Amino acid sequence: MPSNRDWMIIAAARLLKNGERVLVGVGVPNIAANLAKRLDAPDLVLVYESGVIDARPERLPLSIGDGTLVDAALAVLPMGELFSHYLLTGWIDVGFLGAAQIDASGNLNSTVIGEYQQPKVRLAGAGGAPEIATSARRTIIVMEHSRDRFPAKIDFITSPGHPAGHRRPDGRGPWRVVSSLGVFGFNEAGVMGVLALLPGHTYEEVLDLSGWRIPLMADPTPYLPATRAEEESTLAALRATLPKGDS
Amino acid sequence: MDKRMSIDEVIEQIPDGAKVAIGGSSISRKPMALIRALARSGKRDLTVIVDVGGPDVDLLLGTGKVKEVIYAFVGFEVLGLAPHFRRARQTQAVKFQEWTEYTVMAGLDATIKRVPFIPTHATLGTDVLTVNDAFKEIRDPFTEEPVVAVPALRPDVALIHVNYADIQGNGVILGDGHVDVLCAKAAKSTFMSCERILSSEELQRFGRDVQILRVYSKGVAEVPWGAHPTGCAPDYRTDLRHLQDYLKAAASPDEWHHYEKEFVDVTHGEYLENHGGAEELVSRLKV
Repeated sequence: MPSNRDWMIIAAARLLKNGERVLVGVGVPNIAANLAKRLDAPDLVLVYESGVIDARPERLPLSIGDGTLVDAALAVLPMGELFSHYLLTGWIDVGFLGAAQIDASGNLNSTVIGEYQQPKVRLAGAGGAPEIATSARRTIIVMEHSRDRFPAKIDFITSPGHPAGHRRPDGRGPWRVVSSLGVFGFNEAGVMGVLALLPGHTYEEVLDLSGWRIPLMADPTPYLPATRAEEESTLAALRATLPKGDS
Repeated sequence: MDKRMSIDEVIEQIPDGAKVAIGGSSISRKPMALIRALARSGKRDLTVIVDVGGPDVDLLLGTGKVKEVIYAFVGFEVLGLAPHFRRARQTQAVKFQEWTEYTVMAGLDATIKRVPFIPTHATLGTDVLTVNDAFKEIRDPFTEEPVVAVPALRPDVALIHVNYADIQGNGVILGDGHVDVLCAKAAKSTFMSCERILSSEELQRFGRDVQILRVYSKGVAEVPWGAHPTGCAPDYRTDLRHLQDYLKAAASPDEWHHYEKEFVDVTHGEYLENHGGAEELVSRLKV
């Protein structure tokens, strides 16, 4: 059985459809998008926020500025042009986001843990997440599942989710959350619910590890279909392209 | 006009309290040789303007050069969070202004366009708007809808690192451009280091990759490995081993002191020697 992290990568990769334009960040989203492109979505257009359009990286990039992304890319645009003329105009189909905290509406925190003026932990900051969260046609959020990360109230809203009581009227915003326990969606009220669990995990675990009672979206809640051999082997081959000492 | 300068001559041009914009992105193409020279100089009270920061911002914070950071992101990407940045923020020793990637670019663009601010929907509905006093929520004068006014960012100095340049200060960037062109155009003075100085005829061969035009640059320093330990595509990749050692050193005052002695308070030539020389770096990091 794959590790939780591998399951998250595979589950996220399955959410991408062939031909879509996906804005990829570092970490799990990066591996997931590259995995999808090598399996069921060969025409996936990988876009990196540094300005790289339709990247075909031979190995996994270490950062959004990694030279491997520029080689064989369709175009390398000035970053300002990518944001102003492509992202903010709605050209991106799927935006991938990670965060330190998420709430029931899909609001995300990547700024501070604790009080803003006296933080317990200072995080890396917003980056381009606020723009991606509101401009991509839909967003997929990837994060480990724990009570700290899924609290009833997050400490800082870095990227907005759905407004109170309904989904974003423009149809954008949080679409799926892939956690180490399962895949989550958002109902008509813009509230997060369980769509499917990762094999080996239970709804009780979701309740134990969340700061609010996340409802089920289907009854009974399905499990994600088992991994296919090529998903695991392709993922292992991708991992092997990273320098040693890096995961 | 011959704009060649030494690293130290570039640093002399930066006054105390200057607003310094830095190009590159996290662990890619940061002007690290210039940053190290700034870090070992007597300069102080700098305001750093950065879209995506990494070891550049972290080193300037770790050596006490910074009064304020205007930024969207500071981190070491796959390697984790930036240690001095994190500490400075938690101990409140330095002021931090929360921006986002688009708004930093918009702020620089406003200066280039000679307008006082740029209106955007970015950051509406976020706490970024709440805590960043520089942003103002205003009404669109035509529709009355709320928009955010992002003020012009006016750096005194921009520091960037490019692949090639000529002595007139035209610069070639071969990998992604990040925000370097915006920094160069918005700053009052732009200084760049480069891997190699080429003749202007040779530089012409790079046509569309000449991203920094000489009208925007005041000085150019030839500094091979000038982005190290960050990567400089397509010449060399990011030195993850060095960055991991940096993160380890930053965890204890003793080790940090040792790191400064070995890698900051030295000339660029000594810096390369302390890595076993340029040949050793070539064998490890050349793409």
